[in-house]
Amino acid sequence: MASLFRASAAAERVHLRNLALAMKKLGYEPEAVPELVAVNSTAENLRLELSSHSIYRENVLPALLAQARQEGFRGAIQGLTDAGRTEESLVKYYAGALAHLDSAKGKLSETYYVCSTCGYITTNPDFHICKVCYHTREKHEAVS
Amino acid sequence: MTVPGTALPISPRFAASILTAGLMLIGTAHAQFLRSHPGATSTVAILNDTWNFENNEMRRSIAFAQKADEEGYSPGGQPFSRFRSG
Repeated sequence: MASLFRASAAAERVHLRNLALAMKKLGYEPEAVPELVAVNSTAENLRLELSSHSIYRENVLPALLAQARQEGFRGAIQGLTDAGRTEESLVKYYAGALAHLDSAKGKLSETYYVCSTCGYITTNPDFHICKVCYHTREKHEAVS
Repeated sequence: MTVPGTALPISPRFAASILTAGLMLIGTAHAQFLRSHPGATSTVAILNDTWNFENNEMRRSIAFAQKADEEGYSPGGQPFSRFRSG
């Protein structure tokens, strides 16, 4: 469970870098507006993450992407599309983790492979390339 | 009501609070960025909004991982080891 949160953080770190690069190409730097982090039980934290990522993927990202498409910025479109695909994998893993929460305590951590180019996450130990950006296995970070 | 794309139940109130909090944060970041950069396009402000969402998510994920460790989930995990084989 902790490894899933760590994998999520690793994927978000990749997105942060890619989004910052896209902004830099347009001549801007990101400006942080930090929100307070409230930590509850792991069950509640998982529920929050699942809801937050699902709503972001289904309601917020498509609107942001439509605006970027309208203005035709390729780098921004790519960054937002990659973020959407990664959100899809994260939602799947969060839903699975929440469904098996009771039996997860004390079990050895699962290993997640995070693409260091686009942030896509897989648990398949036999993968060869990233499903989203097609980068090779060597470009992945193992998080457990 | 279920979490979008899953069969997991969620109360409408909880979903609404998450959506409102997310949109408020995005709205705040968006307005603040456009105010301080009058020449910026919407796409630039959108990139900044998305960057802020991801930044806050990352901070939250790190804090939640620590909590999960404390509660005994995923013992023996080693954060952020680089994958080298194959």
